[in-house]
Amino acid sequence: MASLLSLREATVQFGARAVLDAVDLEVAEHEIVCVLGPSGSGKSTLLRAVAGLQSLDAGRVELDGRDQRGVPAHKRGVGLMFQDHQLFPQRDVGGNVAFGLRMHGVPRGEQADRVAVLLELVGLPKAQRRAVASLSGGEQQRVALARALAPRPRLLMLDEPLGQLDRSLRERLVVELRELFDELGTTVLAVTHDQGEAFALADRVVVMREGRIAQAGTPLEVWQRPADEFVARFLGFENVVPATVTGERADTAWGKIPVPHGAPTGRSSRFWCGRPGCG
Amino acid sequence: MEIYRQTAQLLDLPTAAVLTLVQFAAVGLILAIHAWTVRRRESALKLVDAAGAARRPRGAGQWALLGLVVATVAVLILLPLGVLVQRSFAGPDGFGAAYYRELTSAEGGAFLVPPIEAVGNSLQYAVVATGIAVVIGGLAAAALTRRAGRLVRGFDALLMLPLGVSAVTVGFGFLIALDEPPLDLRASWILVPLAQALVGVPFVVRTMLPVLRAVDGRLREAAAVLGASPLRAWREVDLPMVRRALLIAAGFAFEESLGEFGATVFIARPDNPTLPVAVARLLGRAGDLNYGQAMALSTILMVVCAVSLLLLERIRTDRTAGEF
Repeated sequence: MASLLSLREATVQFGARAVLDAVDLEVAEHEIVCVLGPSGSGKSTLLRAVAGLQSLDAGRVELDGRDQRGVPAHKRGVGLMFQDHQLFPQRDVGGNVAFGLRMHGVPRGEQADRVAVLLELVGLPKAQRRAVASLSGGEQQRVALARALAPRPRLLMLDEPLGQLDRSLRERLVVELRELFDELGTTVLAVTHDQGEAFALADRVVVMREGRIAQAGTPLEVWQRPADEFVARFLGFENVVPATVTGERADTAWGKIPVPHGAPTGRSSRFWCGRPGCG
Repeated sequence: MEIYRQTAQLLDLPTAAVLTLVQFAAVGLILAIHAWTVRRRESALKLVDAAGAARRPRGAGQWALLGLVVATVAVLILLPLGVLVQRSFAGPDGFGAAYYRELTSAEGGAFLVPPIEAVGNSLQYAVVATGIAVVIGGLAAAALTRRAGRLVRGFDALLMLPLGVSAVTVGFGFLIALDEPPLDLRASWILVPLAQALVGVPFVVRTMLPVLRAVDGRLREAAAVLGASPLRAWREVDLPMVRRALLIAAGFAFEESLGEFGATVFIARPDNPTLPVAVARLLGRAGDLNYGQAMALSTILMVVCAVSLLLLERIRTDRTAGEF
């Protein structure tokens, strides 16, 4: 598959601190990639760098194989849904969703049609005339999504898409989002600190730590084989002990434990166990 | 006032200049202290619609306070103005518009032109001064919204200076500074609106600044990602939010320019007086007729101010209600 987005050694410095530290990342067309990490790991900066809202200190961002250096945000053709939605308060729902279409010079009639379709799609049919301030958090999130989808961005980026919503709403919406993106064939790069959200949404998960990529892989791979102690603990494995692996057995403080095939041998290996029976 | 007396009546420029410098130093000191105290308290305000904040007074205490305020307003503002209006109609031969009729004739008066022309002069100057003040003040406020370094804060204080040092100093400064090429503007009509705009700029900055600060920069980023160029984003995001503040600022600048006396009196040319200057000049001459004309002209100034205020109020509530 051709890479729609690729980052090559992308680096962003805030003072002496590297918020993004030589990050390499590929996102293929129609792929849904979730960047997972604790707050302050550089996830949002990654999105801002791709969107053109944050300039790189080193490295490159490529879209469709073209270097985006010097291309301003409004010409990159990517969508970004902000963490706190950032709906335009002085416009109604329809005005918000149509904004991107208007900026791209879409004729008025076509705008109205597309807004109606999108609002239907996100589950808010006929909401065009409603004031943004009258919407609940979940509804605002849906409007923000419709607004980001409207100009058909080649890449849609979501910054903590469900961050401000309550648990049950989040669980429902994450499934809806996944279905929606599959249906539209949208390429998505999402950022979250919630592993459940990332695993439910993504084809591929990228775990970040302090501006670097700690691990990348399918949700299953990352879940079964965390690359290091940080990733394991971040994913919720509390019991991490040093172990010496010989053959299919690991010597740990808990005694001998069976390990899957292909585990690296030696004293430095660690063994993580989060579930009863140690997975 | 002493500066004005020294300049206008005694033409003692050195004394006036020294007095000006003393005033400058005092105001500069106060502004520095003000900037220092304000810096720590500044933050973006969430603006609430007046209708949402207004409520009826509760309890005897609040009613008493309200009554006190109304009474103060009545005694200190409405009463003097009312007496002025009433006297302006009490002509030499009983009640009538005799003084007003006199305003339209240039003969034997204090001016080269009929005093009534001051109305047109004032309005024209006010329009131009408002334009200048809004553009300069708006740009200054926009610049001050950006992250403030020491230099920018100094700039902020500098913009407040005309307000503090009194308009007389501004006019005096204009008079002695802009009289040599390449900046010889003494003969130009633009001098008056320029001075008036300078006095109006602090009002514009103070009105615009809190509103501009309250506009979230990420809204502009949201617009950019959706395909809006920086200029377009400003027009689509910032402008609708600051339009009301802009109109209020323009109103302030306009009213300020209409009533401005201290600076204008130095630089307005005799054949082009503004309303307040004409009133003062009429008062400066002896005779019942001049006195009566001054009162009539004051009444006209009052009406012009009130009408322009009401017009602005209408635009404001018509176009931008409920935007905050």
